Amino acid sequence: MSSSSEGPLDEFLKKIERKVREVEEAIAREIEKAIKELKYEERETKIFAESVEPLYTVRDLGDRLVVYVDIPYADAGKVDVWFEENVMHVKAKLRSRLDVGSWSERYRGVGVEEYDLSVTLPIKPKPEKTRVRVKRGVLEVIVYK
Amino acid sequence: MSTFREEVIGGFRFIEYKPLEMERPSVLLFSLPDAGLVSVISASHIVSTLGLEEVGDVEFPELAHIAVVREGLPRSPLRIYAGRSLAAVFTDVAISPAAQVMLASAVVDYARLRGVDYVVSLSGIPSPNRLDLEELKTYYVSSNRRMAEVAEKSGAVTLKQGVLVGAYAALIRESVRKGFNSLLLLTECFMEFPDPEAAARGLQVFSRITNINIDTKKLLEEAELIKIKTRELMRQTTGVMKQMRKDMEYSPFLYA
Repeated sequence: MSSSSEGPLDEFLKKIERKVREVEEAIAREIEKAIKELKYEERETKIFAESVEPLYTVRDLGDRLVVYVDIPYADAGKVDVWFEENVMHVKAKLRSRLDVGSWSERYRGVGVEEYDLSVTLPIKPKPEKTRVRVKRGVLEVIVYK
Repeated sequence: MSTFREEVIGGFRFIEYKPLEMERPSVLLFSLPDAGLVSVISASHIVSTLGLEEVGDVEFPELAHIAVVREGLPRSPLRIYAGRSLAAVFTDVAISPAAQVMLASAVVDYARLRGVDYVVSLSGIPSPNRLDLEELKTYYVSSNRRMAEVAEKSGAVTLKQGVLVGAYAALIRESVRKGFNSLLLLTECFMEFPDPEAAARGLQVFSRITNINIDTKKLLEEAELIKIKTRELMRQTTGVMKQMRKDMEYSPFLYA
């Protein structure tokens, strides 16, 4: 039997194969979603170190994503934002080293010097369709879809 | 520290080390972490600038495993402070939504039992456009007309419609049900970022209501450091707000 003349059994098997693939993809999506949710629910307290992760929030406003990153005491001239695929990276230097040890004995000798953040976005940003500004110690990144 | 009085109200053990004697009209400030940590930042500023004294603790099984250490002494994360005419029930630990609701109800009863004239909560109302707001508004929700007049005279604006989610919603509803004077002052704020500027604005209104002078200069000067210091509390509070569906506050509701 030649490969070009497929019978009803081949059609049926291909259909099953397609369905299996769809189910596999759906399961993979669900697992990925569950992992993301688990990460979101993560409660552990992040410790202070030379580099700290700032607070951030992502809003989907239909035609654009807006990412707000709280970077108090950052030097507005030393804020870097760049993208790798769909990951947004932020690095921001503080105006001076913050001695966290003065707040708590546990942090004796620890000082914060910069913010460091990587956020996975649901889309791949295009640099020409991205706007960045810093206001009131908050970095706003608008990524147009 | 010896105990003056212990009383269990709604599952919470209110322990006083001194009698709560205040001049009238007396105010009880109720504060726990919420949107923008406005409440906690405001209460913390009041306690430090007015030099309110720690006069008691509130014990609750959910918080029994946490001790806040001050000058080598362990205290409950939920504490009672008092001054001449102002007391505060305050925590800077994120507590579960269910416990928040129970605590709000217990605080109303505690205030009634101690003869407090009214309860005020200084909190935030998350604004999606907060970054571009230059003049912050403070809204009020009151348990009765009398408290509404007090708020209006002090520059707060009526929250004409909207949804409140959290301990303060429970506090005001319980106050209405029990016929008690309560007032929520809600200043426009960031939801997920600490907002000392909003706290300062709320404190100005609170200052006019209570006739207590509260200087917010230091609070504004130290705003950036406060934001860094409270970063982890904000992160934990955001988790609790997510559990209680705080984002419902963004949703406009239709009323007949």
